[in-house]
Amino acid sequence: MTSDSAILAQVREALDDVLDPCSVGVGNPTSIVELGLVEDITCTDGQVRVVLCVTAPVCLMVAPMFEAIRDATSAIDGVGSVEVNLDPTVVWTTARVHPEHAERLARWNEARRAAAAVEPQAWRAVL
Amino acid sequence: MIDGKLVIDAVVHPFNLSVENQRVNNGQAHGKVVVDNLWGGLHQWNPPSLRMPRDIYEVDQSIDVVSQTMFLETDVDIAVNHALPLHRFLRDGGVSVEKNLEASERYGDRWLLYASADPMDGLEQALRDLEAQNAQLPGRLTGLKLYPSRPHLTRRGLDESYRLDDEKTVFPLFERCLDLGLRSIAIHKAVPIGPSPLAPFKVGDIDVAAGAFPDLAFEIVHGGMAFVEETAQAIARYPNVYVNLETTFMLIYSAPGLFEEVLATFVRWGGYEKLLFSSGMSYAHPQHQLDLFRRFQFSQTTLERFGLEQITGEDKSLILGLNFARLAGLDVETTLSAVADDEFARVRRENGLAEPWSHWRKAYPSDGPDDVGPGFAHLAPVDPGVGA
Repeated sequence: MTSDSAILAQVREALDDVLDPCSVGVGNPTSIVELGLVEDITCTDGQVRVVLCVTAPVCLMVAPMFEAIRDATSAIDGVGSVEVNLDPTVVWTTARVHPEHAERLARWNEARRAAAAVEPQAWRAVL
Repeated sequence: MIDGKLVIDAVVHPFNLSVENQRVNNGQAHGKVVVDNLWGGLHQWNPPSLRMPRDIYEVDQSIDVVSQTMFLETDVDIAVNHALPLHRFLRDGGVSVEKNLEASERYGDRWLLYASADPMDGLEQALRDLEAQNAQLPGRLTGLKLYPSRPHLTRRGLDESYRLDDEKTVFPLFERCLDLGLRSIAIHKAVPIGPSPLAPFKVGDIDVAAGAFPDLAFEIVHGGMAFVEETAQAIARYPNVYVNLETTFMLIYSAPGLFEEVLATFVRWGGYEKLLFSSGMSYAHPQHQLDLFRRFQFSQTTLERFGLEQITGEDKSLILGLNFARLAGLDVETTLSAVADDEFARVRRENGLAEPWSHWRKAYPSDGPDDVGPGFAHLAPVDPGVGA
């Protein structure tokens, strides 16, 4: 029988493969773990519970994320059930992004700016 | 007015959120999910004193009550109403075309109006809808409100979306807007309305449209909630692209550091002239945001990081109304004098600013508990289907 701690480790790993839909949309796929959306993970007697937060109360991608979490974790050996909940009291800010990813994100944004060759307030020259 | 300057709230939503108006599509409670989210925003992103019980939020919000809220409880002089095409969620679209008519007839000097015409209904139908609304409100339409996508009708639904730069299905609508004297296209972006694809909510289709129609303004509604960098570049490049800060402005209370960062990004790349204040009423009370913004200053760290000068009263006035006045072609003095002695101004002079939501609570007395907890209780999928 797989221990709860072993299951927990695998669940954590699996969640790092669940992508935030908006990051995929913008072309910079980021996992919900890297983005700081996973508030808590527990496992008791194979019953896994994941608590998620979202970046904004108006986020309507919650249902697809719940589904992706269940898809990613329910087949893990020893998992009896997966319950996913949202903690609406968490106010997400960029401080929740994992530091390594925050650095990658900053480099990615800088590269995009350089590629676009846009100067600040370039519109003034158009008028 | 604030410090004698015109204040325009660039999006005020007199929603119909009544239970009767909420749609269920193939077992998916799309209408209820939208109301959950709006009410969730009201509860999560506002202080407890400015929240409302669900039973008085989930109502058909009348033009009278919303007008009283706006013009007796806030420093806002002019409100902008968008008729909405959210018929997949709410039977009448969310804010019906009739509410534009009512706002115009009853309080014409106080409201600016956006039509609703949806390219996803087909170009011909969209043109007919636009022209019909213009015929009902000749010379009164300031702009057109668009949504780029519809929610799937089934759990594995097909994409229903379009791009603003579609020359065949969208550009003719913009041409007709110009013919009819409309000045602005307000497109919902950055906040995906699921279940639907994400791509339509990105801002990459603004560029070509803005370049092709330099005489139209393009408002990126909810700009700053996602795709901040792309939005910043769009307002940097095109004179006629603006960020409509609906929802983003709520961050000033709920996540002030994030608000400061997003605002600084937009000011650096676009300048103060490209930003429009929107409260998003009814999921926030405008006066709270205005009070916080009046006191707002960038931190020294942010000023250095973004290479900015400290924000001034003049800069704030641009965001709070003068930019929208320019976009809409309003003469500021004429606009202010038209409302200087109307029924709202007279009551304001006599009684001062009324308590937040006091008119709402009087019109819609609550039978429920004053605060029934977080607004996300129903956000789990209607049909979980997958997993344990």
